[in-house]
Amino acid sequence: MRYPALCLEEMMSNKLDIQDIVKDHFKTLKNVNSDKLSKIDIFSFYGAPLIISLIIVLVCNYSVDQDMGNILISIFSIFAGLLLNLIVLIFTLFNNETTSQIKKEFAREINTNITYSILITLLIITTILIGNLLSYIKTSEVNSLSDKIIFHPIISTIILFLVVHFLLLLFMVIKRIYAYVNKEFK
Amino acid sequence: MPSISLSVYTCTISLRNKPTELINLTSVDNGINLREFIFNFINSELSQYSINREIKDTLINEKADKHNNGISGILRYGEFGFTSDIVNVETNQNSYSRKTEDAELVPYFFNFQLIDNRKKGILIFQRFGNLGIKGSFVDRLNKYFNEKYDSLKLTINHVIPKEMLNEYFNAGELVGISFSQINPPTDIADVYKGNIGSEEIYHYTYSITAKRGGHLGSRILKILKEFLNGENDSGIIEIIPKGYQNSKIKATIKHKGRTRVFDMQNVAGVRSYIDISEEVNIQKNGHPEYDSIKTISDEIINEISSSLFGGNDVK
Repeated sequence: MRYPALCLEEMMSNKLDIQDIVKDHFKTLKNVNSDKLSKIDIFSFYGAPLIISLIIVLVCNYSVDQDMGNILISIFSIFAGLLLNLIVLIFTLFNNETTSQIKKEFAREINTNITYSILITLLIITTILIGNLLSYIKTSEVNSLSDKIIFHPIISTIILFLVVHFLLLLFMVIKRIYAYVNKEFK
Repeated sequence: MPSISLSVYTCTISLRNKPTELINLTSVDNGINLREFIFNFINSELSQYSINREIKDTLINEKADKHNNGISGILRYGEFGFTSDIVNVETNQNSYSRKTEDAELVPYFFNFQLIDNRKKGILIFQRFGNLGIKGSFVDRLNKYFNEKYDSLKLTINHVIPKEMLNEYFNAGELVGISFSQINPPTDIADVYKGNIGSEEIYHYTYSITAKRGGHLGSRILKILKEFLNGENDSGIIEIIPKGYQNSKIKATIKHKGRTRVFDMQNVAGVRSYIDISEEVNIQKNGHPEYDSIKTISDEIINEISSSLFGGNDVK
């Protein structure tokens, strides 16, 4: 007999399991000729954002504050909605009767990239909320609620990394959407 | 009387995103049977006049026979867009004034060897004087092929008999070779769009002068073979650079004070065609007898096939 608590945990983790989205997104970062992971892509999408965020936080001494956090939450909430619409567009344009393997593969990759981008927007929003919470706890402990809430450097680094990472993903998604939709007009 | 010659090509199929990996001409996995495909193309797309108004030419199938090893037949081809007067040389009278919309159709023989389990086919097209149908036929075929198989790529390459190159390269000196290599795109979006990728130029310069009483032929051919990865010694050089279907090779040759650059995949100015005017039987209408030209082309196919694959295929 299975314990209900364990069953619930299993159900919860399955529904929240986003591993497939991340794994499939990584698979799109490959050289289409060799089918191997592209080092340039990995550096572009992960290495470069990390370097940029570290420079901004450590060298420029910048930390994300509450105001910036609120702005980012607004921006990325809108992006999440727009990206969901894009998935619908791709789905609408895709004709299931197509025999083109390239087209199927391409549509699949675009869907994965957009879904992963939505994931990143959610991650940004979540990180900002966590940062808000941690900063709030910290400022309330020292009774300085009137001070501007500035996020911990690590939180700031993560937020900036995710923002730059998302911007680069957006470029990739725009390029792919353009290629996909443009061909439909031919 | 225009000469009758044959131009020889090989054809291959590869995956569009992996152009160096050739697949069999009949591949169940990829859903292609090239012999059937080309036969259907000729019988459907070319069953009526296929008019290209941009290039101003027209092509139509006269006959096409399919057999186990390939397809052979006659296509009629003509160009339009210009006027001319047709004169009867017996009466010196004007028989007809050709209009711009008139196309003079000439029959051209073709013979394709397309064996299922091979990765290369051999295509032979007849030429009539300086005119041929390879370009027009292949353009139409490629367009039809790309519409049906957008994940596959059909490539046609020149085949030049060694004697042709000997004739020119023996008398000149090779002063340079350059080759450009086209890299396929790494992003699936570019593959989908149909981009061929960026072009990198690699330039090598060689200067070789023949000693007095000597000749350059074998040495130049040896160098070219090293570049071109032609391992066979039977006298057939296939212009496909090593490891790459999409490269261009240019050889710069100095001859009688003039320097000439040859695009080795499209050897302009050098006759890379096999003149069969003396061998083939000509009918009263001035065109080659079908059985006669087919026999000659079958022999050429056998020679090329044996050097590429070993063994005779055409009986």
